[in-house]
Amino acid sequence: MNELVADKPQGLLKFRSRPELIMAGLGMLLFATILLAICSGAVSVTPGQVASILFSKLGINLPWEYEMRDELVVMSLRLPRILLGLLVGATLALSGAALQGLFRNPLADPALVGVSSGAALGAVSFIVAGGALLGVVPDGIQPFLLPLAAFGGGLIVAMLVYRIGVVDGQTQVATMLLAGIAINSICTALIGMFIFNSDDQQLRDLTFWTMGSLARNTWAIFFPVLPFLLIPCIGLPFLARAMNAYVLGENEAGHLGFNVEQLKKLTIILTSMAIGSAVAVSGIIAFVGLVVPHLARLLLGSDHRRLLPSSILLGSTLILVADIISRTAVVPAELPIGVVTSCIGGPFFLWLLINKRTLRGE
Amino acid sequence: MLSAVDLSFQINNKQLLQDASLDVKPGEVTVILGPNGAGKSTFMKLLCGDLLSSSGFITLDGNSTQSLDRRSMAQRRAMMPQSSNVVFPFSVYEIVMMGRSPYVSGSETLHDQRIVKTAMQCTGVSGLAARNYNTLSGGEQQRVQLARVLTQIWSDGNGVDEAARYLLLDEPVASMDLAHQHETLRIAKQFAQRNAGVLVILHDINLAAMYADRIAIFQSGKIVRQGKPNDVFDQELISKVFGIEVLLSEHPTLGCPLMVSLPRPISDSTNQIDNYQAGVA
Repeated sequence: MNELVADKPQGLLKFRSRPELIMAGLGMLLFATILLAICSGAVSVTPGQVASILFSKLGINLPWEYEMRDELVVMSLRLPRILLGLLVGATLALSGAALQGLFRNPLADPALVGVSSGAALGAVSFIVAGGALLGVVPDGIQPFLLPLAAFGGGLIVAMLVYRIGVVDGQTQVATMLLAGIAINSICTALIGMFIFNSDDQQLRDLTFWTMGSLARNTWAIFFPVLPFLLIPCIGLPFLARAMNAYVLGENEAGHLGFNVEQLKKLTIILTSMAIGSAVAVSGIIAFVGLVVPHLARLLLGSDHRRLLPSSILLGSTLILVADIISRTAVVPAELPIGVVTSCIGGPFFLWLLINKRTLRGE
Repeated sequence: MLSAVDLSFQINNKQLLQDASLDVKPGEVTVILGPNGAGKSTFMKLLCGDLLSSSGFITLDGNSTQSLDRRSMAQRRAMMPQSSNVVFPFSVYEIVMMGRSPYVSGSETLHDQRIVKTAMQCTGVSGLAARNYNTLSGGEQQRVQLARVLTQIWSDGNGVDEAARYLLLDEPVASMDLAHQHETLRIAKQFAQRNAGVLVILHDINLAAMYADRIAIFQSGKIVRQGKPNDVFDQELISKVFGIEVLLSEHPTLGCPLMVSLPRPISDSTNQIDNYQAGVA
């Protein structure tokens, strides 16, 4: 190997020497996407009008005029939807990056580990069998029942996978991954059984959970899940240095002074909290957790101190773009967002696999 | 001083190590020799904390290592694994920088960067800094890992008033060419002279004879002999432990012991391949 040539950073690697520039670029891209998401849809609104609407809430009047209808669309429909989409995309991508690190496996993904389908199973069983509960529970709590069922399903799977994976007090990551795959297929089978036994209206609702959608998001859903989505986004990046060392191996991370058992536990708890609540509000949105971390690695390298924040930014952007497409492609109907992310994500991932050797770790 | 006192380890009723006692002294290179399955790696895994001993204990300057916290332990004891598989594309520079983890909170300082650069020059991997670790050959990866463990316990001073540090190397030269084998052990020896205790598992008896200050010979989970190279090298003992005839001589220029192995004849009555073919015929 010619060492003189090897010294020159190749391709994308040379941009990594300016990570702060790329990070700023990603931030601006996200901001532009948010703006586009607020403005586009069945009713179009200009950026000026959006600014007027937002600032009028603070008592400041800006020169751009708008109608009541515009305010209603922006404040009650688009804003909660976009904010939730933002957080869901961020937590899915972040959890994907963290799980790939934890399992030391580039294929790990919230859906593969079974937490996503556990959450979806919780929701689906509530839609089909939970009708009886609606009469008993007070009206105020009813909107929370479905998200709670999803969250509970995700949490049960995460705890089960974790229980199976811990042998003699030692967490065995390979066993956990395999247990996740098995539980995933059990959940998928059960969901299939519910779908087989459901009526037309239920079927439409079920599609929402299995293919994902941001359409149901309102402020009433936003605030209860906010802490569950925010805590992982804040907590996981603190584990970045330990995750870096963990890439060298479990023992090696221990030699470098990190508490490996604690790292594994915290990662499991935080990611299942993130994924459970993300599925609870938006169903299973495929591919974000798998593709975004790989994309972030190509842009900024594998160092988790950059990988985790950049996954947050990229994940939010990708979800918002997919949501814009799902809202505007077949107006007045909506495509499930999971269909859009898979349509973009699948081929894109294949292209990456074929063209980028760095992705395969070569 | 890093000391193992009467260390035993058993798993599934199998005794892998029995009453092994050994001192790793600052300023010295201690080499562990022994056939496969003799308990060398088990012993090192106990010393670096990967395994917990069934009985016996490990002390650092007289204190039990279990009473010390992880981070300060990591600043004084580094372990280089036999091989290290990194799943994601990290650059060589990033891998070596991970050695500074026990000192860093947040991001690395110029001081850390200087140590990493020096350690990389030291092991001859400066030219590979921007390369993806996974694209390197086995020997190059080992040199990168050596640079990483050196940065982990690097000391800037002359080491006189500092606490001694300990470097554990599990077959560090296994995938290296001859020149790099010598280079690695020369680095280990130099490092030892800066108030560090180095413990190395080797398979090459002659390399051990050239670089070791002290040698411990393992057989079936026990330390059967330890001492200075001239004292432990005994033709009969080596033949017995390794199960092969050897001739002991003297290195023509260095004067240290030189071991030549004497293979069994290619065809003899205990040759399984010949017996099998005879059976088939």
